[in-house]
Amino acid sequence: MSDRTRHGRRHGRGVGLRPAWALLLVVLIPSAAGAADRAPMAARAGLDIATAAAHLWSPDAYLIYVENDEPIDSHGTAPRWGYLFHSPGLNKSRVYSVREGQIVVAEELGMKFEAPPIAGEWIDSDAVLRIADGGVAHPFRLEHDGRLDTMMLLRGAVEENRPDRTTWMLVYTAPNVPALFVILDAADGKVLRLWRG
Amino acid sequence: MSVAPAGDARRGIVRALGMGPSQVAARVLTAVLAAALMACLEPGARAQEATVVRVERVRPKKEKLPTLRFLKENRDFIRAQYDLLRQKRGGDLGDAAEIDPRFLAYQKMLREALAARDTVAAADDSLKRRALLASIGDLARLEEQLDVMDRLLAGQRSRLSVLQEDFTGRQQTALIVVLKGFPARAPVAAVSITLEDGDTLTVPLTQAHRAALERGGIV
Repeated sequence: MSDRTRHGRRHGRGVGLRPAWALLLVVLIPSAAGAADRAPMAARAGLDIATAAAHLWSPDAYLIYVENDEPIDSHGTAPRWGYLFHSPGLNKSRVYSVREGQIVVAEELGMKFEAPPIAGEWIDSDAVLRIADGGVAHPFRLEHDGRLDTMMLLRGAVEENRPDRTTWMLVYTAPNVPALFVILDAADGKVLRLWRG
Repeated sequence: MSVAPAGDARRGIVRALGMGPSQVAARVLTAVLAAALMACLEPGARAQEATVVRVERVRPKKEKLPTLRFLKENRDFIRAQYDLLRQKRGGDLGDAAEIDPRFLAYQKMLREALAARDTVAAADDSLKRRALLASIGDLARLEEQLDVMDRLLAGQRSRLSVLQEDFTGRQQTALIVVLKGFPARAPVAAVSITLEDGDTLTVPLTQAHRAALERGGIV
Protein backbone atom coordinates (compact mmCIF):
# COMPACT_ATOMS: atom_id res chain seq x y z
CA MET A 1 0.00 0.00 0.00
CA SER A 2 2.71 2.45 0.97
CA ASP A 3 4.78 1.53 -2.07
CA ARG A 4 1.87 2.11 -4.33
CA THR A 5 1.21 5.42 -2.64
CA ARG A 6 4.81 6.55 -3.05
CA HIS A 7 4.85 5.39 -6.60
CA GLY A 8 1.55 7.11 -7.18
CA ARG A 9 2.83 10.34 -5.70
CA ARG A 10 6.04 10.16 -7.69
CA HIS A 11 4.08 9.51 -10.80
CA GLY A 12 1.69 12.32 -10.01
CA ARG A 13 4.53 14.79 -9.35
CA GLY A 14 6.18 13.79 -12.60
CA VAL A 15 3.04 14.46 -14.51
CA GLY A 16 2.66 17.78 -12.73
CA LEU A 17 6.21 18.97 -13.48
CA ARG A 18 6.34 17.94 -17.08
CA PRO A 19 4.38 20.97 -18.37
CA ALA A 20 6.49 23.25 -16.21
CA TRP A 21 9.74 21.93 -17.67
CA ALA A 22 8.27 22.15 -21.13
CA LEU A 23 7.30 25.75 -20.49
CA LEU A 24 10.78 26.53 -19.17
CA LEU A 25 12.35 25.03 -22.25
CA VAL A 26 10.01 26.97 -24.47
CA VAL A 27 11.07 30.13 -22.69
CA LEU A 28 14.79 29.35 -22.65
CA ILE A 29 15.27 28.01 -26.15
CA PRO A 30 14.27 31.19 -27.99
CA SER A 31 16.42 33.35 -25.74
CA ALA A 32 19.45 31.10 -26.21
CA ALA A 33 18.87 31.02 -29.92
CA GLY A 34 18.46 34.79 -29.90
CA ALA A 35 21.84 35.24 -28.24
CA ALA A 36 23.46 33.10 -30.92
CA ASP A 37 21.61 34.84 -33.71
CA ARG A 38 22.45 38.39 -32.70
CA ALA A 39 23.59 40.00 -35.89
CA PRO A 40 27.21 41.01 -35.67
CA MET A 41 28.11 44.35 -37.19
CA ALA A 42 31.18 46.33 -38.07
CA ALA A 43 32.12 49.22 -35.81
CA ARG A 44 30.71 51.97 -37.98
CA ALA A 45 27.25 50.41 -38.12
CA GLY A 46 26.27 51.67 -34.68
CA LEU A 47 27.93 55.05 -34.94
CA ASP A 48 24.98 57.03 -36.29
CA ILE A 49 22.54 56.14 -33.53
CA ALA A 50 25.20 56.58 -30.87
CA THR A 51 26.13 60.00 -32.26
CA ALA A 52 22.50 61.07 -32.40
CA ALA A 53 22.03 60.06 -28.78
CA ALA A 54 25.23 61.78 -27.76
CA HIS A 55 24.15 65.03 -29.39
CA LEU A 56 20.87 64.86 -27.54
CA TRP A 57 22.86 64.42 -24.35
CA SER A 58 25.13 67.35 -25.21
CA PRO A 59 25.27 69.18 -28.55
CA ASP A 60 29.03 69.66 -28.32
CA ALA A 61 29.77 65.97 -27.74
CA TYR A 62 32.31 64.32 -30.01
CA LEU A 63 33.49 60.74 -30.44
CA ILE A 64 36.73 59.90 -28.66
CA TYR A 65 36.85 56.11 -28.41
CA VAL A 66 35.35 52.92 -29.86
CA GLU A 67 35.73 49.38 -28.52
CA ASN A 68 34.02 46.05 -29.09
CA ASP A 69 31.74 45.21 -26.15
CA GLU A 70 31.23 41.60 -27.18
CA PRO A 71 33.62 39.12 -28.81
CA ILE A 72 34.75 39.81 -32.34
CA ASP A 73 34.28 37.14 -34.98
CA SER A 74 36.67 36.25 -37.77
CA HIS A 75 35.16 38.92 -40.02
CA GLY A 76 35.94 41.83 -37.72
CA THR A 77 32.34 42.22 -36.62
CA ALA A 78 30.84 42.00 -33.15
CA PRO A 79 27.27 41.87 -31.82
CA ARG A 80 27.84 44.96 -29.69
CA TRP A 81 30.13 47.99 -29.85
CA GLY A 82 30.75 50.75 -27.34
CA TYR A 83 31.10 54.40 -28.40
CA LEU A 84 32.53 56.92 -25.97
CA PHE A 85 31.78 60.61 -26.37
CA HIS A 86 33.17 63.60 -24.56
CA SER A 87 31.43 66.89 -23.92
CA PRO A 88 33.74 69.83 -23.15
CA GLY A 89 30.74 71.86 -22.04
CA LEU A 90 29.64 69.31 -19.46
CA ASN A 91 33.20 68.14 -18.82
CA LYS A 92 31.91 64.58 -18.87
CA SER A 93 32.23 61.48 -20.99
CA ARG A 94 29.36 59.16 -21.82
CA VAL A 95 29.34 55.73 -23.43
CA TYR A 96 26.65 54.27 -25.66
CA SER A 97 26.69 50.54 -26.30
CA VAL A 98 24.83 49.58 -29.47
CA ARG A 99 23.50 46.15 -30.40
CA GLU A 100 21.39 45.42 -33.46
CA GLY A 101 20.83 49.09 -34.10
CA GLN A 102 19.63 49.82 -30.58
CA ILE A 103 21.32 51.45 -27.63
CA VAL A 104 21.40 48.86 -24.85
CA VAL A 105 23.66 50.72 -22.44
CA ALA A 106 24.02 54.45 -21.91
CA GLU A 107 26.05 55.57 -18.95
CA GLU A 108 28.55 58.18 -17.95
CA LEU A 109 32.10 57.03 -17.67
CA GLY A 110 32.56 58.09 -14.08
CA MET A 111 36.08 59.37 -14.60
CA LYS A 112 37.72 62.26 -16.37
CA PHE A 113 38.74 61.24 -19.84
CA GLU A 114 39.62 64.18 -22.04
CA ALA A 115 40.76 62.55 -25.24
CA PRO A 116 41.05 64.23 -28.63
CA PRO A 117 38.22 63.65 -31.10
CA ILE A 118 38.35 60.73 -33.49
CA ALA A 119 39.05 61.88 -37.06
CA GLY A 120 36.07 61.60 -39.37
CA GLU A 121 37.77 59.33 -41.89
CA TRP A 122 38.54 55.84 -40.61
CA ILE A 123 38.28 52.44 -42.19
CA ASP A 124 35.90 50.02 -40.60
CA SER A 125 36.72 47.13 -38.27
CA ASP A 126 36.18 44.39 -40.85
CA ALA A 127 38.70 45.93 -43.24
CA VAL A 128 41.19 46.46 -40.42
CA LEU A 129 40.93 42.85 -39.33
CA ARG A 130 41.53 41.59 -42.85
CA ILE A 131 44.73 43.61 -42.99
CA ALA A 132 46.01 42.49 -39.60
CA ASP A 133 44.94 38.87 -39.76
CA GLY A 134 46.36 38.41 -43.20
CA GLY A 135 49.64 40.11 -42.35
CA VAL A 136 51.44 40.88 -39.13
CA ALA A 137 49.15 38.92 -36.84
CA HIS A 138 49.09 35.78 -38.93
CA PRO A 139 52.23 34.14 -37.41
CA PHE A 140 51.02 34.82 -33.87
CA ARG A 141 47.65 33.28 -34.58
CA LEU A 142 49.21 30.29 -36.27
CA GLU A 143 52.01 29.51 -33.81
CA HIS A 144 50.20 30.24 -30.56
CA ASP A 145 46.60 29.60 -31.51
CA GLY A 146 46.05 33.28 -30.85
CA ARG A 147 42.77 35.05 -31.30
CA LEU A 148 41.68 38.67 -31.52
CA ASP A 149 40.41 39.82 -28.16
CA THR A 150 39.90 43.56 -28.44
CA MET A 151 39.71 46.22 -31.13
CA MET A 152 39.70 49.86 -30.23
CA LEU A 153 39.72 53.09 -32.16
CA LEU A 154 41.38 56.05 -30.50
CA ARG A 155 43.53 59.03 -31.26
CA GLY A 156 46.86 60.03 -29.88
CA ALA A 157 47.26 57.67 -26.95
CA VAL A 158 49.31 54.91 -28.54
CA GLU A 159 51.17 56.60 -31.37
CA GLU A 160 53.85 58.71 -29.77
CA ASN A 161 55.53 59.98 -32.91
CA ARG A 162 52.40 61.26 -34.59
CA PRO A 163 49.76 61.63 -31.90
CA ASP A 164 47.47 63.46 -34.27
CA ARG A 165 46.72 60.19 -36.01
CA THR A 166 43.59 58.23 -35.34
CA THR A 167 44.60 54.61 -34.90
CA TRP A 168 43.11 51.18 -34.55
CA MET A 169 44.69 49.07 -31.83
CA LEU A 170 44.17 45.32 -32.01
CA VAL A 171 44.98 43.05 -29.07
CA TYR A 172 45.57 39.39 -29.83
CA THR A 173 45.80 36.95 -26.94
CA ALA A 174 46.94 33.35 -26.64
CA PRO A 175 47.41 30.97 -23.70
CA ASN A 176 50.69 31.24 -21.78
CA VAL A 177 52.31 33.84 -24.05
CA PRO A 178 52.33 37.64 -23.96
CA ALA A 179 49.63 39.37 -25.99
CA LEU A 180 50.29 40.89 -29.38
CA PHE A 181 49.41 44.55 -29.88
CA VAL A 182 49.03 45.86 -33.42
CA ILE A 183 48.66 49.55 -34.22
CA LEU A 184 47.25 50.56 -37.60
CA ASP A 185 46.60 53.93 -39.15
CA ALA A 186 42.83 54.26 -39.12
CA ALA A 187 42.84 56.32 -42.31
CA ASP A 188 44.50 53.79 -44.61
CA GLY A 189 45.09 50.63 -42.58
CA LYS A 190 48.85 50.91 -42.69
CA VAL A 191 50.53 48.94 -39.90
CA LEU A 192 52.43 51.45 -37.78
CA ARG A 193 53.94 49.20 -35.15
CA LEU A 194 53.43 46.10 -33.08
CA TRP A 195 54.73 44.82 -29.78
CA ARG A 196 54.31 41.98 -27.32
CA GLY A 197 53.29 42.60 -23.77
CA MET B 1 -15.85 -3.05 34.73
CA SER B 2 -19.35 -2.63 33.34
CA VAL B 3 -20.40 -0.23 30.60
CA ALA B 4 -23.62 1.80 31.11
CA PRO B 5 -26.03 2.01 28.17
CA ALA B 6 -26.42 5.36 26.33
CA GLY B 7 -29.87 6.06 27.76
CA ASP B 8 -28.51 5.70 31.29
CA ALA B 9 -25.73 8.16 30.52
CA ARG B 10 -28.15 10.82 29.28
CA ARG B 11 -30.26 10.39 32.35
CA GLY B 12 -27.10 10.70 34.49
CA ILE B 13 -26.18 14.03 32.83
CA VAL B 14 -29.68 15.44 33.31
CA ARG B 15 -29.57 14.49 36.95
CA ALA B 16 -26.14 16.05 37.37
CA LEU B 17 -27.32 19.39 35.92
CA GLY B 18 -30.31 19.47 38.22
CA MET B 19 -32.69 20.29 35.35
CA GLY B 20 -35.55 18.59 33.68
CA PRO B 21 -35.04 17.02 30.19
CA SER B 22 -37.04 19.79 28.50
CA GLN B 23 -34.88 22.47 30.14
CA VAL B 24 -31.70 20.75 29.04
CA ALA B 25 -33.02 20.45 25.49
CA ALA B 26 -33.90 24.18 25.41
CA ARG B 27 -30.45 25.19 26.64
CA VAL B 28 -28.72 22.94 24.14
CA LEU B 29 -30.82 24.45 21.33
CA THR B 30 -29.93 27.97 22.49
CA ALA B 31 -26.23 27.11 22.52
CA VAL B 32 -26.39 25.66 19.00
CA LEU B 33 -28.18 28.77 17.70
CA ALA B 34 -25.63 31.05 19.34
CA ALA B 35 -22.77 29.10 17.78
CA ALA B 36 -24.43 29.32 14.35
CA LEU B 37 -24.90 33.08 14.77
CA MET B 38 -21.23 33.53 15.70
CA ALA B 39 -20.21 31.50 12.68
CA CYS B 40 -22.25 33.83 10.46
CA LEU B 41 -20.78 36.95 12.02
CA GLU B 42 -17.16 35.70 11.96
CA PRO B 43 -16.30 36.59 8.31
CA GLY B 44 -17.31 40.20 8.85
CA ALA B 45 -15.27 40.38 12.00
CA ARG B 46 -12.28 38.86 10.16
CA ALA B 47 -12.65 41.41 7.39
CA GLN B 48 -12.46 44.23 9.89
CA GLU B 49 -9.31 42.76 11.43
CA ALA B 50 -7.53 42.12 8.04
CA THR B 51 -4.29 44.03 7.43
CA VAL B 52 -4.31 46.40 4.47
CA VAL B 53 -1.63 45.39 1.95
CA ARG B 54 -0.31 46.91 -1.26
CA VAL B 55 0.28 44.57 -4.16
CA GLU B 56 3.29 45.30 -6.35
CA ARG B 57 4.88 43.42 -9.18
CA VAL B 58 8.48 42.35 -8.69
CA ARG B 59 10.62 44.53 -10.93
CA PRO B 60 12.40 42.34 -13.47
CA LYS B 61 16.11 42.21 -12.96
CA LYS B 62 17.75 44.42 -15.55
CA GLU B 63 20.50 42.89 -17.61
CA LYS B 64 23.81 44.50 -16.73
CA LEU B 65 25.94 44.63 -19.83
CA PRO B 66 29.63 45.40 -19.48
CA THR B 67 30.99 48.03 -21.82
CA LEU B 68 34.46 49.38 -22.70
CA ARG B 69 36.14 46.67 -20.64
CA PHE B 70 39.64 47.20 -22.02
CA LEU B 71 39.46 50.93 -21.43
CA LYS B 72 38.28 50.49 -17.86
CA GLU B 73 40.87 47.83 -17.09
CA ASN B 74 43.69 49.94 -18.53
CA ARG B 75 42.38 53.40 -17.79
CA ASP B 76 45.38 54.49 -15.76
CA PHE B 77 47.76 53.73 -18.61
CA ILE B 78 45.59 55.32 -21.28
CA ARG B 79 44.86 58.41 -19.24
CA ALA B 80 48.58 58.81 -18.57
CA GLN B 81 49.19 58.72 -22.32
CA TYR B 82 46.63 61.46 -22.85
CA ASP B 83 48.17 63.50 -20.07
CA LEU B 84 51.48 63.37 -21.94
CA LEU B 85 49.79 64.62 -25.06
CA ARG B 86 48.42 67.68 -23.39
CA GLN B 87 51.85 68.61 -22.05
CA LYS B 88 53.36 68.85 -25.53
CA ARG B 89 53.41 72.21 -27.26
CA GLY B 90 51.54 72.52 -30.49
CA GLY B 91 54.05 74.97 -32.08
CA ASP B 92 52.64 76.99 -34.92
CA LEU B 93 50.03 74.42 -35.81
CA GLY B 94 46.55 75.50 -35.02
CA ASP B 95 47.27 79.22 -35.01
CA ALA B 96 44.42 81.09 -36.62
CA ALA B 97 44.16 84.63 -37.91
CA GLU B 98 41.29 86.83 -36.92
CA ILE B 99 38.30 86.46 -39.19
CA ASP B 100 37.54 89.48 -41.35
CA PRO B 101 34.38 91.04 -39.85
CA ARG B 102 33.04 91.57 -43.36
CA PHE B 103 32.78 87.81 -43.81
CA LEU B 104 30.79 87.54 -40.61
CA ALA B 105 28.54 90.37 -41.80
CA TYR B 106 27.81 88.52 -45.05
CA GLN B 107 26.05 85.78 -43.10
CA LYS B 108 23.77 88.34 -41.53
CA MET B 109 23.13 89.98 -44.88
CA LEU B 110 22.28 86.63 -46.40
CA ARG B 111 19.78 85.92 -43.65
CA GLU B 112 18.19 89.31 -44.13
CA ALA B 113 17.98 88.77 -47.88
CA LEU B 114 16.29 85.41 -47.41
CA ALA B 115 13.84 86.88 -44.94
CA ALA B 116 13.06 89.68 -47.38
CA ARG B 117 12.45 87.17 -50.14
CA ASP B 118 9.98 85.28 -47.95
CA THR B 119 8.20 88.51 -47.10
CA VAL B 120 7.91 89.52 -50.76
CA ALA B 121 6.65 86.06 -51.67
CA ALA B 122 3.96 86.27 -49.02
CA ALA B 123 2.92 89.73 -50.17
CA ASP B 124 2.81 88.58 -53.79
CA ASP B 125 0.60 85.68 -52.84
CA SER B 126 -1.70 88.03 -50.98
CA LEU B 127 -1.93 90.30 -54.02
CA LYS B 128 -2.94 87.44 -56.27
CA ARG B 129 -5.75 86.57 -53.94
CA ARG B 130 -7.00 90.15 -54.05
CA ALA B 131 -7.86 90.30 -57.71
CA LEU B 132 -10.92 92.32 -56.90
CA LEU B 133 -10.49 94.87 -54.18
CA ALA B 134 -13.71 95.14 -52.28
CA SER B 135 -13.23 98.26 -50.25
CA ILE B 136 -11.10 101.27 -49.50
CA GLY B 137 -9.73 99.37 -46.48
CA ASP B 138 -8.26 96.77 -48.79
CA LEU B 139 -6.66 99.51 -50.84
CA ALA B 140 -5.08 100.88 -47.68
CA ARG B 141 -3.68 97.48 -46.80
CA LEU B 142 -2.35 97.13 -50.33
CA GLU B 143 -0.57 100.44 -49.96
CA GLU B 144 0.99 99.24 -46.71
CA GLN B 145 2.25 96.11 -48.43
CA LEU B 146 3.74 98.15 -51.23
CA ASP B 147 5.51 100.26 -48.63
CA VAL B 148 6.93 97.12 -47.06
CA MET B 149 8.18 95.95 -50.44
CA ASP B 150 9.77 99.34 -51.04
CA ARG B 151 11.60 99.07 -47.74
CA LEU B 152 12.77 95.57 -48.59
CA LEU B 153 14.04 96.75 -51.95
CA ALA B 154 15.92 99.54 -50.24
CA GLY B 155 17.47 97.00 -47.89
CA GLN B 156 18.54 94.86 -50.83
CA ARG B 157 20.06 97.89 -52.51
CA SER B 158 22.08 98.76 -49.43
CA ARG B 159 23.32 95.16 -49.11
CA LEU B 160 24.30 95.14 -52.77
CA SER B 161 26.18 98.38 -52.29
CA VAL B 162 28.13 96.85 -49.41
CA LEU B 163 29.05 93.86 -51.55
CA GLN B 164 29.97 96.12 -54.43
CA GLU B 165 32.20 98.18 -52.21
CA ASP B 166 33.88 95.08 -50.80
CA PHE B 167 34.56 93.36 -54.09
CA THR B 168 34.21 95.47 -57.19
CA GLY B 169 36.16 98.34 -55.68
CA ARG B 170 39.02 96.13 -54.57
CA GLN B 171 39.77 94.15 -57.67
CA GLN B 172 43.43 93.44 -58.02
CA THR B 173 45.37 91.59 -60.64
CA ALA B 174 48.42 89.82 -59.33
CA LEU B 175 51.39 88.56 -61.26
CA ILE B 176 53.51 85.92 -59.65
CA VAL B 177 56.98 85.42 -61.02
CA VAL B 178 58.88 82.28 -60.02
CA LEU B 179 62.67 82.34 -60.28
CA LYS B 180 65.00 79.39 -60.35
CA GLY B 181 68.66 79.02 -61.17
CA PHE B 182 71.74 81.05 -60.30
CA PRO B 183 74.16 82.39 -62.95
CA ALA B 184 77.58 82.06 -61.35
CA ARG B 185 79.35 84.58 -63.61
CA ALA B 186 76.91 87.44 -63.16
CA PRO B 187 75.06 87.21 -59.88
CA VAL B 188 71.53 88.57 -60.17
CA ALA B 189 70.82 91.63 -58.07
CA ALA B 190 67.34 92.43 -59.40
CA VAL B 191 64.68 91.17 -61.78
CA SER B 192 63.03 93.46 -64.32
CA ILE B 193 59.66 92.63 -65.83
CA THR B 194 58.24 94.49 -68.84
CA LEU B 195 54.45 94.55 -68.89
CA GLU B 196 52.18 94.64 -71.96
CA ASP B 197 51.78 98.39 -71.89
CA GLY B 198 55.56 98.88 -71.91
CA ASP B 199 55.98 99.65 -68.26
CA THR B 200 58.95 98.03 -66.59
CA LEU B 201 58.82 96.75 -63.06
CA THR B 202 62.10 96.08 -61.26
CA VAL B 203 62.15 93.92 -58.15
CA PRO B 204 65.43 93.83 -56.22
CA LEU B 205 66.59 90.49 -54.87
CA THR B 206 67.77 90.37 -51.30
CA GLN B 207 70.76 88.45 -50.07
CA ALA B 208 68.43 85.75 -48.74
CA HIS B 209 66.86 85.39 -52.20
CA ARG B 210 70.24 85.08 -53.86
CA ALA B 211 71.41 82.51 -51.31
CA ALA B 212 68.27 80.47 -51.92
CA LEU B 213 68.77 80.56 -55.70
CA GLU B 214 72.42 79.57 -55.28
CA ARG B 215 71.37 76.50 -53.29
CA GLY B 216 68.92 75.47 -56.01
CA GLY B 217 65.85 76.90 -54.36
CA ILE B 218 62.89 78.68 -55.89
CA VAL B 219 62.06 82.29 -55.22
